[in-house]
Amino acid sequence: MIERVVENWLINAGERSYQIPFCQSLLSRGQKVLHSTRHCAMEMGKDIIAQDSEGHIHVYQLKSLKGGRLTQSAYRSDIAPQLHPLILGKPVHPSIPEGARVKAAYIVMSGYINEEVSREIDDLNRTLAENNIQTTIKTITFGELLQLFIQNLHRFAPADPGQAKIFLELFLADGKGAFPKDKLWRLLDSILHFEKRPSKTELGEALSSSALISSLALSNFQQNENWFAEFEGWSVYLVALLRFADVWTLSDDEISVELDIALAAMFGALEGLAKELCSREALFEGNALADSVILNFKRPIMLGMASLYLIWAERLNVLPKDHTEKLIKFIREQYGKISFWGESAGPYILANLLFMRRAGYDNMVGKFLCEVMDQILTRNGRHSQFPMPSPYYGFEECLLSLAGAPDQTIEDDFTHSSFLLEPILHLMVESGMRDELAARWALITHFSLRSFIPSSSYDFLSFRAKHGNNMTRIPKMTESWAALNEATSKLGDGRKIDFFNKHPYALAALLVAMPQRLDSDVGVYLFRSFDPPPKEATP
Amino acid sequence: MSVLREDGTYDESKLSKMEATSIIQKEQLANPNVAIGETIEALSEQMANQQVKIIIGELEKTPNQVDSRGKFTIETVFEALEKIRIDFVDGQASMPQLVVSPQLFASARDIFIVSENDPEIKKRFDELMERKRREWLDRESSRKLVD
Repeated sequence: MIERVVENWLINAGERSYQIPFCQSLLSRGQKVLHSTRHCAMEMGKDIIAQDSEGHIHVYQLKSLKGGRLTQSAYRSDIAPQLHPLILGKPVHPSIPEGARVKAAYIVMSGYINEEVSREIDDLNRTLAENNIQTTIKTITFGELLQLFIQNLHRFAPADPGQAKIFLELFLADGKGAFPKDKLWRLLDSILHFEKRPSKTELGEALSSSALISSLALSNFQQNENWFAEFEGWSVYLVALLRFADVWTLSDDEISVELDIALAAMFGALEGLAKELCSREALFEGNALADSVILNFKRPIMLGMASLYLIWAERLNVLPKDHTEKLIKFIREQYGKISFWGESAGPYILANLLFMRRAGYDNMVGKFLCEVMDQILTRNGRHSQFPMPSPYYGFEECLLSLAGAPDQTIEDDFTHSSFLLEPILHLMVESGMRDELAARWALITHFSLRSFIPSSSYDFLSFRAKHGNNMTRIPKMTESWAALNEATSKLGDGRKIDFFNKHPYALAALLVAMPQRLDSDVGVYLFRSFDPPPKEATP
Repeated sequence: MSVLREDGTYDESKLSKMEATSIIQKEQLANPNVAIGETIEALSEQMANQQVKIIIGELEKTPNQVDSRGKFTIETVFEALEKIRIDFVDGQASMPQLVVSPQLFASARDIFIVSENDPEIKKRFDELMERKRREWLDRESSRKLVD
């Protein structure tokens, strides 16, 4: 069954869809992926640059033929012009040693090649050899590509009926709605589960299979340019990789390429979302009247994702000027007009705060923190009819409950209880907002400050932690500012996961997929990871 | 599951296992609800007993106990109300809920019915509530952030 599914997927796959599993296949064949493009304007004719065990460079250009044939005319108009940079363009990457030789340039296609095209490539290779150019042009066509994908999958393909059902549900989803994160998590959890330490081969096969399963699960969401779903899907993949590395004490270096590929996929989806946001004239979709009702609740998501893109792109030093200005304008105009559907909005709020802090917009940080705290105190206060559900309830569940959809009502009582209040409180302390907190302290003391503290990094990186402390803290009626400062100063170890020290934006992104992991410690850690610029450099 | 209270006390509770068994006879297969209902009832009883056990366990750590020596009177109620904190919402006292054993239920209900029409008891109750209101105001004014 799985072969037919992969074949069907590959026939319909665009270049972007099969790029990640292809990278993973190269890794499992012993090549080191040095570069995998984000499909931006700077591709320079090379989608993937890899290095073999002898240090030779291999460059790959991916083409989507959707199972069709590459004709001579298509080859001459579309492919041949890209061969020149593949052969002669010096691959530029910090990991490529000076003077390293490009051994082979590959045209990888999800289709077949006509005989006359094949002969034309042979002729070109002869000409290259006669001119002492040692690079050869090779092709990887549909059959070989399919074989490459399924050879590792046999052992890890969803086999039992329950897993197969989940896999098919993901693969056959229409790709227009929310991404069912928990389903992909269950599949990856099973693929990346070993009773004893996996061998290097097993490790490569499992990682390659999990990338392919993720791509298959996300294929319809990618085709629909459902950027948010794609982002969440690759976030789940990243979390699964990190937990796998944590279990088997693999160093970041041992799976650095896999992690980089996951990060690149997440950033690519964020970039797509940011571009779409910039190109749209109106924020609503479909029926303007109906959608405008829930636009208030969607706004925090758009603001949060735009913010996450900006802080991430800044770290990568790839901020495009026009989009950046538009996104900053969008955030500045919209941040005062938001309503939260529930406490699972926390990660978007935090991403917003991180952007404002990083950009040096101190006033915005202060106003936004007060606005968020006031919404919690009011919405979950004594007289609220619709308290905000805990972060364990997602956007759709909360909206269906608010709308009174049959059998969708959330019955739990969240009055005077909040998971988000304590992190916001500590961020206000961290920002020195003593007077603002004093004005709200009487209301805060009526709340139970809830949190879940996972027992280990394994539990932190699990969608459903098995061990941890479900903690309730009742604030002191009379509290001192000095004591609050001391408590905040002890926070911020970021769960001691090294990877996040190098990639703090990835932790902010992970929270979007797992909002229940946002607590005071993580919030303060991220806040400190995005320091404001020096005063004179404030935009 | 743990709680850190405003007075700094910390308590941690563990999950408790509860179980009940149902045996469904062949002839019950067409309508197994009766047998399943018995199981649910048994589990509910275990949960209720566990809750009472937890409440009693917590109370034993506090000075809020009243020992009526097996005799439930209106004095028991006053003594208990004296010891607990009462909050006021929109000017109205937020009164606690009284939980009694099935054996005590009838006599407790009768005591409240009789007391409602006793002017002496009503006066004592109003005075107690006024004191509780002042205590509540003092408490509310202590909700503040200091240096």
